[in-house]
Amino acid sequence: MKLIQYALGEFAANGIYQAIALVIFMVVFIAILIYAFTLKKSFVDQMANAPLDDFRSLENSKTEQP
Amino acid sequence: METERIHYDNKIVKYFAYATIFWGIIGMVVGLLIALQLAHPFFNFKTAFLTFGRIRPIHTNAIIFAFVGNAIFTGVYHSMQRLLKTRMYSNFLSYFHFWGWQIIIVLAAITLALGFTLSKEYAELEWPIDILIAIVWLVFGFNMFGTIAQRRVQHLYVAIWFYIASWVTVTVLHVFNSIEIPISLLKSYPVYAGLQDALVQWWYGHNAVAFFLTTPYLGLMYYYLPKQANRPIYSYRMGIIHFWALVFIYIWTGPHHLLYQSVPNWAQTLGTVFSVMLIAPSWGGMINGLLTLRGAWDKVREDPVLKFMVVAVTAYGMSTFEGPMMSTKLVNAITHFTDWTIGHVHIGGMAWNGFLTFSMLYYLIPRLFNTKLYSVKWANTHFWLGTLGILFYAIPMYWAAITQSLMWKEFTEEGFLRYPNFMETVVQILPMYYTRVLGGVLYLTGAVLFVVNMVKTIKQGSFVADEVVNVPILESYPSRRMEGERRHSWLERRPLQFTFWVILAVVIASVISTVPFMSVKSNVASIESLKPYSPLELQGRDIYIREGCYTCHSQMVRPFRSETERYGDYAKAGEFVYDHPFQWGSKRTGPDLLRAGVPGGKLYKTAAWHYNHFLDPQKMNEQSIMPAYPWLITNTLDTTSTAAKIKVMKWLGVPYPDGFEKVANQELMAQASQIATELNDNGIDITPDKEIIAMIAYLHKLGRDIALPAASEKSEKDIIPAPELLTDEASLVEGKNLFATNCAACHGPQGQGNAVGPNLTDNYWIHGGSNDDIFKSISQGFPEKGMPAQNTMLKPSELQKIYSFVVSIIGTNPPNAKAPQGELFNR
Ligand code: HEC
Ligand code: HEC
Repeated sequence: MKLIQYALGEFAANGIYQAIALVIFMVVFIAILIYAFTLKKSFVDQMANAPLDDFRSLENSKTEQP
Repeated sequence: METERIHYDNKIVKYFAYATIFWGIIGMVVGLLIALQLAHPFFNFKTAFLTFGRIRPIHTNAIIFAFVGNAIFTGVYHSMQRLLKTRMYSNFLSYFHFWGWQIIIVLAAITLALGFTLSKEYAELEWPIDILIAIVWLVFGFNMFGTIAQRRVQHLYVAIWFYIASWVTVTVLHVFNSIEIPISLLKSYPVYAGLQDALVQWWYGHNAVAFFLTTPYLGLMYYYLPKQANRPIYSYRMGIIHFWALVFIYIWTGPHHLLYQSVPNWAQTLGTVFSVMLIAPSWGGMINGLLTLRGAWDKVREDPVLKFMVVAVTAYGMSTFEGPMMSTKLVNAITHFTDWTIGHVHIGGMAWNGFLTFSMLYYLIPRLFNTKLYSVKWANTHFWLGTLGILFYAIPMYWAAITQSLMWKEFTEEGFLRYPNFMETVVQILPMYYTRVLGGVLYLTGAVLFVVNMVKTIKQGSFVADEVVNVPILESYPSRRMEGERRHSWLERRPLQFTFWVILAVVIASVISTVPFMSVKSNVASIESLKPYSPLELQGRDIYIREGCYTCHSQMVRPFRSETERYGDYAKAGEFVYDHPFQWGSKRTGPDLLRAGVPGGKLYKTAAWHYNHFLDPQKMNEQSIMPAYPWLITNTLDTTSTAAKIKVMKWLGVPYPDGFEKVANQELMAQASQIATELNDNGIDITPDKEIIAMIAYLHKLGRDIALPAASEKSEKDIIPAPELLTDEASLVEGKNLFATNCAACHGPQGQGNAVGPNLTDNYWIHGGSNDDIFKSISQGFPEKGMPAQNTMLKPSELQKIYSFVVSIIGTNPPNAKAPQGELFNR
């Protein structure tokens, strides 16, 4: 445990820690970009329109008088 | 095409919407009250449960968890049913969630007013309520995931992603920040102390803003903005990137609340770097929202709902630009502890959360009641009142912040503080505090108009409790539970996978940004002279917490000359190890109190002074805005809790001797009698059993143990041998970089010296020019002269590199060098 603590402290001080953090972040970010831009256009369009089709029809809905 | 009937539950949406409106008005009224209190202390009414320190947490909690919380649930319960084409999973869970949440809010308001608080911002509530929150939150999660599982669409729209991520993260945050050991039914101590407590708290505090005030609202934006504009979001791909980048980056940024404070440098750097990166996805999100309206700006001009949305989204962009700026050390040095923070949160709170909530309700209520908005004109008036309110709120805050910060930092030519009396800087900003009240009144007036408009709308419509729609049946229902199907295949894999990735992102970031603090304990230079709180001081500290003194007073002197000159020695990480919870504070409405107990120190006041000050601060200082605390003088100190408190503290690692809890009250009375005698000698009639005695004991403890004299005596004598001088290129380059971040502010980028620190490149030295002398100057610093000790902030290996670099620049003779100071040293 002591050793790990020591190692963490040294990493932190020498900037290795920040470097690791940055690398992890970059990898994830690039993965997200690749994922987002390889999606099919038809799929993306369909998803973008998801909030818009409501099939709203009130004739069967129960209403209450206030 | 075959269709199927779905019944949406509108009643639960209506419940949450009503709660949003109700608590919103209450939260704003309380906000107005505390604004008045800061303008004039009369509005504290000399009543315990109405004083600023207790009311401010009620305001923040009411706005965040009651107003915004209920608004989130309104939007989630409404949009989720429609996006997933299904009713909520369980009526019972929905209403359990609703009533549970409202009960929590009521309990929160009562306990906070009575002074039961953990004093951790936005996590003030005591442990039984914390448990209740966890239960209700889990119920909400269960209901949400159940709904997702029975959805009639194949894929989840990005708004749902935001809801899921918010739920997951808030769960993690709430659990880890609320680990506390109960002492009694309504009092507990957090397991973390000092530095660790601060880091966990701001990891929480920041992400509560991120995952309660931001991501759920982004979900709402991604649903209601396209709805109201009647066109799809500008770029769905951008939405995906926005989502993942936010979820991944947000968690790392917590330490930006603790810049220049007693936390390791690397943590501060991490906080800054990730905060700045956050601008990119946030602005992506804002642009995505605004571009959705491209070609429809004529609509915006007529439609108040869109107007509210546009201002909300723009404010989101402004706040997420301002925040990262405030996370850089340069800006932070000026803005932290000032009203800038308050201005910043109100751009977020009033414009982003408030306006988006209003727009959502303007959209939603007429539809729930199958009618039209009663008055579009009123809504427009509301928009302008609100916008003016925000401006009249924010601009005075920024003005006050800059004015006060510059006054705090201004020195005369002789090198003294120009405004050594803190009150001078308060009086200067009082007009701004009055203007802010006006801003609040405008905003609240708008909100009241909104309520009237809603009531009229509701009156003219008829409520659709159970909305029936016919949706086409999908070829395959990937997720619905078929007859005879087993449970685990019913819980569809995709949302689970997705949730897994979210958890992974959150956990990785949390681990990276918090686990190294395990190593902190061994890094913190233990301060031998530091003693645990005596029983009386501990009781006093708990009264300090109860009264919410931390809402106005920081206990964190940063290593700036302007602060050490004003308050005394700057804060060391090691001096907080017994502080459960930490009391660093985040706002200096009054002066910092970290060194209030250093005899002969700048802040030191006698017991009699404190007595009179608590009785009537305005008697000591006519324009003071500190509330009076007369009840501290009449209330009898509750000593029945002493033993339990000492026991828990011991269990948490505070080194009280064995069996101390049994004699603690004797010691408490002995110390109390001393203070009471001192007061009696000054003609004050008081018995030792009053609360104020404990409070004075605590204030006199602050900073006392590590007062300077002992420390500086030692440092004059000791010679510490310098480490080996490094001469290789790589080490010197590193030394140079470390110098740039740690020293250049006071010694100039080339070490040429500036208004603060001396020239290091000539051969004249104030504190000796031998290698050993120079190393000692760097590592121990001259805190009383404005140079912080570096050995508490930097690792030995870093010190060695800086020191080697400093030696290497002697004689370089850079331009604009400061005139020599001290004596010539022959190298
Ligand atoms: C509304 C904000 C506010 C609250 C709440 C508040 N204070 Fe103050 N306090 C001030 C201001 C402003 C001053 C400076 C003017 C003065 O001395 O009265 C001050 C001054 C002080 C001082 C004197 C510092 C000095 O100059 O030596 C002490 C001690 C103090 N407060 C303690 C407390 C304690 C203990 C509490 C909680 C019970 C508390 N304050 C609550 C605003 C506040
Ligand atoms: C907050 C401002 C500040 C920072 C940061 C700071 N210094 Fe100083 N430093 C000073 C002041 C002020 C003095 C002069 C003290 C005095 O007058 O006795 C000083 C003195 C010194 C001296 C002794 C000079 C002499 O003439 O004897 C050395 C060496 C030194 N600093 C090096 C450093 C190094 C290296 C760093 C970075 C690790 C650093 N300082 C960071 C303010 C600062």
